[in-house]
Amino acid sequence: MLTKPTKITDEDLPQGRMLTEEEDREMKENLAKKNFGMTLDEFTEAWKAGEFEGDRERHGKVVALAMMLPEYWIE
Amino acid sequence: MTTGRSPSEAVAEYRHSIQRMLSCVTPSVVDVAGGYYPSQVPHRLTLNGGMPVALGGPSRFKLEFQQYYRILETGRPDALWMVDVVGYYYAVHDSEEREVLLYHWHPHAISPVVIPHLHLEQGAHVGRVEVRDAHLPTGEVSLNTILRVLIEEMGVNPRRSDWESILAE
Repeated sequence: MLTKPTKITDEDLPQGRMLTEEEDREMKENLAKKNFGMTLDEFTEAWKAGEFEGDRERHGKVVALAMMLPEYWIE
Repeated sequence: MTTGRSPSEAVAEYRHSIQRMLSCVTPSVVDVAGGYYPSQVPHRLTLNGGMPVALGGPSRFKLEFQQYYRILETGRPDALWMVDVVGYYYAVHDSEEREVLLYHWHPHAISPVVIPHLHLEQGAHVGRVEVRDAHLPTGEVSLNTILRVLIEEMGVNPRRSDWESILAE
């Protein structure tokens, strides 16, 4: 069903926030639980151990969460 | 590239421009994680807490968005600080949250694939395994080009009447 675009202005934009460390951690924990059924620490350990290598089905979800880890970035 | 007189101003301007583009297809919020300081580990913009957001329109696609950036000093007196995008994760899912398109770029990461690339995923119904498993080179893909394709060719309804001018900027 087509919905007509409405007049939204920049004043209507939601105000994003700078997440606290705790909120950022909670976001990652939620993703680890939803997508892998594990804690963030368990995910990080498994990812570092290469346990997701070759897991073609979950490749996207692995990359999405791994990119959020400081360990993912090397420079 | 977004600039500002301070790191927080540059990041605020950058976040605003991304939020503005995304408002063409979703009311969901983009938050900042990391901080307002130069760092080797990039900071991050994330849409909707990292969860896919439903887009309007008959195709019923969902969108997931993360973008990574660093804050750099420019040396210019009028705009001392700039935001430099150093990676992204854009995903288009179907209504069942099967991934359809994955746009990845992580040039400074431990992944062996450093070029910007596209994965055609399960939801794209690609039969050939060689294509499905390939990292298809794309060049750097900007958010506005993805949103344009979604609206113009993939059955996503725009929310804003001025979406064309916003996504043309």
